[in-house]
Amino acid sequence: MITVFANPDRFMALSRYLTPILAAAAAALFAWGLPQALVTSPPDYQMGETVRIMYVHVPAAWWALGLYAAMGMASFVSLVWRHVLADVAARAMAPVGAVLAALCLITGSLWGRPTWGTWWEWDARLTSMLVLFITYIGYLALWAAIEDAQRAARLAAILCLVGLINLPIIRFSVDWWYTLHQPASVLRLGGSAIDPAMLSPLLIMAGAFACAAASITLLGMRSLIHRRQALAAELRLARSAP
Amino acid sequence: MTDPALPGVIEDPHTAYIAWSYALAALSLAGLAFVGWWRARHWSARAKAALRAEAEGGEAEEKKASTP
Repeated sequence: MITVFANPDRFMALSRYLTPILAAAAAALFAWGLPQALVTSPPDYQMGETVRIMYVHVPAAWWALGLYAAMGMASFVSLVWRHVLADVAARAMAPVGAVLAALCLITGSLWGRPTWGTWWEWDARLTSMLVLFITYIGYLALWAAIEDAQRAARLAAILCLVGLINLPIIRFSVDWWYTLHQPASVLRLGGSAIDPAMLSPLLIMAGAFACAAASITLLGMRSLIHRRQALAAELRLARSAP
Repeated sequence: MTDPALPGVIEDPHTAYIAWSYALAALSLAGLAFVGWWRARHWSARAKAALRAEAEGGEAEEKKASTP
């Protein structure tokens, strides 16, 4: 299955239709989830209305982590099998993941101010999330700094794999250390501790963020493949010119 | 630091925190989608132009070679 779709021509043909379908799915899920997140879901008994920030903060955090894990897999494939689509996929996911990590940090800060009374605290969850954002920026900077695409891909893949160590630290930071951040309440052993009236809009918004991130990543992959084609054709033209 | 209220629009600071969060999320996703769409359009047009120029160059070479 993977080898069938890992062909760049097949990928371009498939992604041409998949990108708008995913964008439409994201729009539909946002149209379904936003009224619930902003209006019909109940306020929290302690945090009040500010709990509504959760419906953008948590999906942004989940997919910032999810995209980094996917980048790690793509980087592994790139290093072991040297597949061109794996490089392209990892590189296209990075800006989306970086923006989602930044969104998670900023909305977390906006949520922390009325809840904890502070914009920022150097606790384990917040700091490890900041490290993830910095890793994303480093990954993008590495691609931008090295002209030789093969060398850039190899070094970026190594950096990405080293950065994977941060994912379990982020996930379990609230269990391993005493932090200001609350422990996991959705993805945890023993099932979700969140009320179904809040869980439903959260999952819908998470689905909307996933479809939006996937659609934008496919757009990014398409533009990187076109970029490679354009630069290769321009180079051949320049070489053949008298 | 003051609360991020939107003067004249949203006076309740808690509502303003929510409004800022959703506005930032919308701007981030819309920004990413626009930049992605624009880059895809730009590189697609450039690739098509380069491949067309290459094909035209190849045809001209063939004609030149076949002319006695």
